[in-house]
Amino acid sequence: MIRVALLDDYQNIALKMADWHTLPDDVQVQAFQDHLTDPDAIVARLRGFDIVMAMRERTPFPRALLERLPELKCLSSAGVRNAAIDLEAATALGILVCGAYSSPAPTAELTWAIILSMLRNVPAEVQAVRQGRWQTGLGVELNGKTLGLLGAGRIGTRVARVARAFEMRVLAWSPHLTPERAREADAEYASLDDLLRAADVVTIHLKLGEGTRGLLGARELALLRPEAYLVNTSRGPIVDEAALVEALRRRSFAGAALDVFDEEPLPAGHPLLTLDNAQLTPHLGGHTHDNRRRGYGGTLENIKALLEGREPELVFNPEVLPRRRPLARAVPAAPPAG
Amino acid sequence: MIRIALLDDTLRIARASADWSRLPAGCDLAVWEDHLADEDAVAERLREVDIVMALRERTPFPRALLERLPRLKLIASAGRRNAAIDLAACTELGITVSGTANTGRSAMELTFWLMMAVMRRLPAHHQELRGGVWRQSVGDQLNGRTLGIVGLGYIGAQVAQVGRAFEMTPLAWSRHLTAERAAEHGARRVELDELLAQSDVVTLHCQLNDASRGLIGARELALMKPTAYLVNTARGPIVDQAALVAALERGAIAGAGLDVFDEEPLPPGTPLAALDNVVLTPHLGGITTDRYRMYYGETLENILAFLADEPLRVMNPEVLPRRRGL
Repeated sequence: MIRVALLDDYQNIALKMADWHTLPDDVQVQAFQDHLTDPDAIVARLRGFDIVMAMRERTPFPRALLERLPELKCLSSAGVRNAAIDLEAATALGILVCGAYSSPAPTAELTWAIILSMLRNVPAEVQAVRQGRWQTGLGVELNGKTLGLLGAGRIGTRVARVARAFEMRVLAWSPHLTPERAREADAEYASLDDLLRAADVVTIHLKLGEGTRGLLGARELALLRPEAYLVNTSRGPIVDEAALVEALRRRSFAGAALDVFDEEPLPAGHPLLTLDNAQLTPHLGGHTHDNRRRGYGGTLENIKALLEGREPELVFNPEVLPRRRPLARAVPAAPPAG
Repeated sequence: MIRIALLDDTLRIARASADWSRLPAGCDLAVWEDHLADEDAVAERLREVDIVMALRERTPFPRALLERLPRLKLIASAGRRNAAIDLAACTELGITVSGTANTGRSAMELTFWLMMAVMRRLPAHHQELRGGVWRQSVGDQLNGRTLGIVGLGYIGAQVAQVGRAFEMTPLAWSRHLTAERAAEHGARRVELDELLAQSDVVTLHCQLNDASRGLIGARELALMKPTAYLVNTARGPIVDQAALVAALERGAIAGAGLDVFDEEPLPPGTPLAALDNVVLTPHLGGITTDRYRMYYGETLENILAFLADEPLRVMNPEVLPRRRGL
């Protein structure tokens, strides 16, 4: 029996989103709807499972946890990377970590949805209607404004394309961006400081890593114009959260729309929750039905590949392949003699 | 003394939106921040007024009211048309009616917010998180979806253009739309029924007139996919509201984003507010700083031109030879 666990299936859709029944009979798939934070509880739950699917970074897999899962052969994640899995530790332990392609489009779309939310002040207006009131203020239009794009990768380039359709000027910067690559994305290269000084809307589309952690601190936020807005759909720690709260309290810039935070779920009583110039969403990112289908479908393909002795398509730690923990399956009984 | 009244300045931006100091000496400018629903009250407010600014259709000017305003010489309306002004009556009475441009991309921008807001349930998430509840959802995306545009005019064409940037496939229909014009704007012309049956998002951008009133009723909603969304930033009466409520309650369509209604402001207790798969906004399509600067700026120019005896942007030019003068 090979046991597969699908974690953090909050909407209870995992088993409907891929053709799990096409797996051989000796593979058993179980989906869990609830989220566990206690490592002991996670270890207890995952005892006996050979393959675990992680729904993005919802449940982190640090070394300390991985070391307590001796039966785990493969960790498959929805998405093309997972910063919450300690890859080095997994490799050392012989655990294969792989991913599943997900579309960058929904995250780019969500970015525009929260940009427009802020510029048209819609949460307040929607609430007004629900309370029997009507328009409460004037919105701001996108056309003719300048978008400051931090990051011109899979998501950033899509955001830029839509910005141009909205008749915005697009400035772009990232640690590795060149003026040529910026032009290819239909954007103008600018230094980080120039971009922060000039933009009407700054939007972050960078990977979280050493070069981007705390990229926007007090000094950088102070460069934003008083009418400017900041948007973050990437990862919370790219912005210094304390500096952000302070700048929003002082109203040194117009407002922030945030889909990501240092700690998720955002703890009750967090200062961001009290600020009227911060619009917050609970890491909705790329979570659409289409991407779910891709995530579960991709994991299904990864499992089949392993069962058939092939390499899954998107392996995060290829160094582990020669030494990975094998999937043990019952050898079929030999036919009776005679 | 020339008395000028600006009505319906509920957002309190009229004075800041144009340089009213350009009015000549001898003008008295009154800015009213409240909306009067009662015609008698409006007649009383405007009894001594020579020039009134009408903010779109917010305060109607039917014949019965106009006949009670013998001093009124100019109605300076915001926008190119105003269905709430009886233009024929104005002309008969010698009242000049001027208009302004109504250009811009604000309605299209709001349309895309409404689409994404209902497909990703944004208002519910905003509100829940404010209340300390972290609840994620799995939503729907625009990418790869079919966008059905009813009315491919000034705004509809912008919607097609931005829809393509979001990698949607635009279909379009209106009574007089040709396949060529649709193609010019990156859309494919189809019949209305096919648009309704094929689209994942149906968005309305046609004018309200006798042909379009009630265009989307029970029959049309039944043609739509149960996974499809309806967005209306055009005019409320284009959709049969009762049929829409019934369709949403039944799950005949997945949801609706509405910026316009039969009655505005939307009365409290409306059945629409009880539905969980709708997003309602208070006619925000044209409510932006840029648009209001245009409305008030051009209205001021129209007033100055009228005062200089050279009326500008007149909606009823037949009145000019016989207009009431100052």
